[in-house]
Amino acid sequence: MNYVIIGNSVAAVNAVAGIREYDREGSITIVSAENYYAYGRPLISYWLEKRVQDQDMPYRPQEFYEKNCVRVLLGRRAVKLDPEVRQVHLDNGEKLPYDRLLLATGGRPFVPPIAGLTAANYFTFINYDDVRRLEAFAIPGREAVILGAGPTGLKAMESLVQRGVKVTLVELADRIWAPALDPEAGALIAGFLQDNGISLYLNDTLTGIRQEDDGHLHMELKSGRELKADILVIAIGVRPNVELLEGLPGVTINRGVVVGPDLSTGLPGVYAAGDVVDGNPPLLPHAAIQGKIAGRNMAGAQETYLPLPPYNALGFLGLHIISMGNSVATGEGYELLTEVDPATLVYRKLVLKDNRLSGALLINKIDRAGIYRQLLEEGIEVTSFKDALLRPDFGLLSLPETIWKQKLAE
Amino acid sequence: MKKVYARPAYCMNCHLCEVNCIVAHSRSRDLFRAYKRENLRGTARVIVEERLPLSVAVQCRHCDDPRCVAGCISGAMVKDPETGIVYCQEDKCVGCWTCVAGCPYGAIRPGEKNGRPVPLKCDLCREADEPACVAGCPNRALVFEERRAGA
Repeated sequence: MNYVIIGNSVAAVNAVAGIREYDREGSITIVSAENYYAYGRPLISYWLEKRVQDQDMPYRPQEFYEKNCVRVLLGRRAVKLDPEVRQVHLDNGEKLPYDRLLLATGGRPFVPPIAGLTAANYFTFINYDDVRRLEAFAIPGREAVILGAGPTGLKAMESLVQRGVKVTLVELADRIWAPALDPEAGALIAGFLQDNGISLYLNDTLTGIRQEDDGHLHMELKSGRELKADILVIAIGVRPNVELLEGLPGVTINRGVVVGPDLSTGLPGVYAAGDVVDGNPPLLPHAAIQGKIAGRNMAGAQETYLPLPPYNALGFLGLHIISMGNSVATGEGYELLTEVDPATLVYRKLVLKDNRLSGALLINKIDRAGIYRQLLEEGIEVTSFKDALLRPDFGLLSLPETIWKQKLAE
Repeated sequence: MKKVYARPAYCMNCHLCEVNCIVAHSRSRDLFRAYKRENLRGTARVIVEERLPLSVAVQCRHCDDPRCVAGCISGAMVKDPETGIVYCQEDKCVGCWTCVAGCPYGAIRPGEKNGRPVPLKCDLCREADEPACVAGCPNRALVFEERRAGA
């Protein structure tokens, strides 16, 4: 069996592991547009603030590729897919035949049209090269504007602040990280950021930019406000890299590529995993789990990927947030359990619907968070232990005996 | 694989497993030094839960498809393919705590050692013959055994 994997990040590496559980012999080729072996993509902010060094960037040790007999083509792009003859065309003219192909191409930053924006006057914040380029600019005393106050913008903020750069966040929504934080939590964190010297403009966005002769960036916002800075980082989301499959009969592309329960795309032998998959939250655990399952299925297993609700852990400047499921829900049909202590920046909220966990948001008190995630994913009814859910000693023993006994026996 | 199994009927809530775990994961391997010099109080990788009179020690189940490994952003958390042990290469951990959100048993806690993040989770004392919590349990409320096939 001849496997080709397009992409070399978390989904791809986990697919290799999945393939090798079933097939020790088949040849595996990875086509990597980036010039690096797989690295933990979220580590780029840690690298920028020097908490992680170059040698600690690899997601798997170098031996991983050798041990699993993987040929890696670094700095190569797949430019065309020919499903009729089962071949991938590379940017150097080479054609790779495949029996099974995995599309693990991820996403790329979305950059909106903004008057005056050129490749030379902004940064994105998604890969190693982005921060390597940014490093030279991020020196103490400089000022940066970050467009987008979601997880990427917030991690960019943290690393720039740690480098002594003064940061202004501009966010179109009415609060920080609006898909995960409700207004109360958003306000709590906005206060925390302001206490840390970060400027925050909500309900606003960038409409124009020009670079002055002295190199400074002059920016105009929708509100009419004007900002001056040395650095602009655009972090307002990613778009799936679906180009290889566009226009091919038998494939459905919405935002990402639509896959079946086995992660196949509809083209014979072609699978997809990670951020490129339609409806998949662009989160690392989801990419890893999908990659593993896609790999197994490519090698002959018949495993189903059950769509997982989003869950995410995000820390910055010493604050820690875990969000899962529908963590912003309020109003009709939902029951909310909360614990709030603004003095210690603790905020814990569980969202119940029909006596089942539908979402959770935990700030600065995250112990045992995974039990909530499991209850949420399994759709377990919590009526009998609802009162215990936010107690300080909440744990496995708070669950019905049949459940905790079974869990401890696993 | 061999795992630690709790037998709640025999647990007398002494918390010695927590103490022995801390000592086993200390530099000095000495209780006094671990608590008073290395400041490791509260860093056990096993949690004794109490619903008195019931008590039970909860720790990592070394899952077949571990969520903590899938979610690890740095590649620090791994499952040893030979032994099945799930453990963290602590010098690679950046403390994002996705593992904490992932663990279905709540068996990973966010911790810290010398200013560096440490996920407090059981590694089955992977360099010893028997985990310290089991070795020191006075009533065999924790046992280390093989109960099903596979790693």
